[in-house]
Parts: sequence; C-alpha cells; structure tokens
Amino acid sequence: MNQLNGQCLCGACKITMTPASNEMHICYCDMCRAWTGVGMMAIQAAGDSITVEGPVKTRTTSEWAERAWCDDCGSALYYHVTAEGPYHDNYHVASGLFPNAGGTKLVGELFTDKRPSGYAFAGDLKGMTEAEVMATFGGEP
Amino acid sequence: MCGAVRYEAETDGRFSVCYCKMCQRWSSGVFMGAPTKGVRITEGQDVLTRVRTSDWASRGFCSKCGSNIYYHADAQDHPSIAFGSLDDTSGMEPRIQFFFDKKPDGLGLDRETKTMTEAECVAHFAS
Ligand SMILES: [Zn+2]
Ligand SMILES: [Zn+2]
Repeated sequence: MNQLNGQCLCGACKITMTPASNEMHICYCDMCRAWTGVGMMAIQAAGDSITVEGPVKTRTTSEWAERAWCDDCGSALYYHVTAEGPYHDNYHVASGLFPNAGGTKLVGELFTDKRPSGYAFAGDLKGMTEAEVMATFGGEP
Repeated sequence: MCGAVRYEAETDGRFSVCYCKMCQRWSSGVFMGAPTKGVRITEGQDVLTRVRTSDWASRGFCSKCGSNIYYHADAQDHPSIAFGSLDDTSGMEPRIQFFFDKKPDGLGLDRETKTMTEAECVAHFAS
C-alpha cells in the first residue's frame, strides 16, 4: 500500500502511515460514538508504519487500548491497541485525516447492535455485534 | 466519552451531516450534529475547550477525552450538538447532507436526504 499523509483540522498534528489495506471500518461502540459524534471511521496500520507529530493527547480508555486526539482542535486521531497479544500496537487511524479518506472504502461495522436508528452507511458491509466482537477479539480490537 | 462534560439541549429531532474537510478531520470521517434551541453546560465548563476553527465558526470539545461536543456557526443563534454525545437519539432523523460533493468516494449514507454542494453551502452561509 502507498503511504498516506494526513493532518488534523487545525493542522498542528500530522500523521504519516502505510495502511494495512484499502479498507475502512466504523465502530459504533458507546465510546467511539461519544468520541466522534458518529462512530470511529478508521483505517488500520501497524505501529511501525506510523509517524505522528504535534500536540497529540492520549487517554487510556480501556484495558486494551488508548485513544488520541489533537489537544489544540479536538480532532479524533487514532485508536491504539496497547494490550499484549496478536493485535498489539495496531493503530486504527481516523480516515477523515486523509484526502478522500485515503482512497479507502467502508467495508465493515463493529458493534452494529449499538448503531443509532437515525443513520447507517450504504454498501455490503460486514457487521459484527458487541458479542461477536468480544468473542473474536476478547475485547475491543 | 469520559462524562466530564454534561449539557442540556433541546433539538427538533433532526440532525445534519457535513462532509467538509474540516468536519472530516475533526470527527474521523463525517460530522453529524443536531441543531439546538440552546445548549446549557451543566458540568465540565472548565474542561470544555472552545476553539475558533474558521472565520465563520467555532467548535467545542472535551479536553479530558477529546470528544466532539458542538459546532457553532456565527450565523446561527445556537450550536449544533455532536449527535453521538446525546444521551437519547431515538427517533432522530437526518435532514440534510452539507458539502455533499466533498464526500469521500468510499462511504455514503444508506438513505436519501436533501443535499447541498460546497458552492451552495458557501453561497447560503457566507452571504
Ligand atoms: Zn489540531
Ligand atoms: Zn470527556
């Protein structure tokens, strides 16, 4: 995959990464919806392919992961798996930071049982309920 | 997300969707906000960061967890509240999609609403 270059709304945070694929997923868990207002729309990338600069603020939001945003403008930046295991150091980076969402396509949804009734995204999306996410990843991925 | 900022707001049961690049960058891909008849911050006034993000609007977010809280255009009397921060969104429906020509190719809503292009938004809101 080609390298992607993105930035937050105010431009203070800059991210460079090589995405794992051209796929985008949205997570509708309570935290991701409250965080972004919609659900976290993210592109996966390995930790060693990412460079982040700027006033990044992080918060440990569960025993699996931390979330990061721009301290200056509040742009959602990424979800980072901190727990040991097969998903360790995976990043799920906000697609909106990149031009045309980095050329990715929305292909899947997590926590579909938490999606509000007022909206949904079109397409043949692979969905996982909270129970399926927990069974597959032993927590949030 | 962390619960530090709490507010009371009255909406009319509708929300707007915006694909401008600023909203894409702020909200991970697209912003959804419900216009209000006023927002009263009841907790966390001190952790709510207000930032001027363009010549015509401001935004508010929680400095403890980064959650999007509101978007406030100068032309509007009251802020639009980030949809996902509302405790109860039952029955709420999207009314319009702004900057529809800026929508990434790889995503779109599953339903039709009224749309406005960037040129239409600028003509409508900047005049
Ligand atoms: Zn920023
Ligand atoms: Zn918070």
